[in-house]
Amino acid sequence: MTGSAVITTFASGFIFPFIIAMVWGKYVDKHKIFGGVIVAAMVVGTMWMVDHGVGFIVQGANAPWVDQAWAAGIGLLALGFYKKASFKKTVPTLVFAILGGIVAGFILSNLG
Amino acid sequence: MKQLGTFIGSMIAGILVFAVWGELASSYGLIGGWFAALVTIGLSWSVCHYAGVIDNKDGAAWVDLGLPVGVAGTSLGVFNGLPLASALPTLGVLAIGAICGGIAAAIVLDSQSTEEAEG
Repeated sequence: MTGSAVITTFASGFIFPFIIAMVWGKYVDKHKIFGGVIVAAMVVGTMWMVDHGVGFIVQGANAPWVDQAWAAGIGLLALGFYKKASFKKTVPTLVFAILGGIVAGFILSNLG
Repeated sequence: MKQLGTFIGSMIAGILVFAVWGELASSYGLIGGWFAALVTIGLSWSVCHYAGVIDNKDGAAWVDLGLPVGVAGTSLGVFNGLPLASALPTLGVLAIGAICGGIAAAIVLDSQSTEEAEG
């Protein structure tokens, strides 16, 4: 990766979970499920334009896709563990979430 | 058996995102990609987090639907024969940024509640 690529990719990784942590809950507190749907567009949609539309996240050549979603997942885990969340309680959910993702990837690879 | 929900919800999120987002974005550009978030993440979030299908326990770190979506996107490429190693520099840098961003958010959130507590 070039230096510029590292900078923009790092910035994307930083900003996405930060925004989610700061604001998502507020939309939901105020507007429940509707708030959640709106903030999905506001946060994820807007970040998508930056990360993937314009290309802040620089993908490798002939590489599997690295989605901005990774930043959300990893960043929020980091937040949790920084605040001393229980690793033991988190692991089962983590394992099954990852398995679900892998199976999704497998199913998707069968498209077209 | 709550983890059955975690597994299914995660799988659904991955499929929703990668099935349609690309098409919406290539047909409608930036605004198509934005709209894709409204429909796919709106629904995925409603299932995984609002309905609590992903089992996020009290006292555990938050496992966001983003994690299985990221896994789905990368594994999709691997299942199609692309080398995982090629994705690792991007993923590595992104992960480091994310860890910093998550910690920064924790620090800012803590400072906000400290301020509230001090009155």
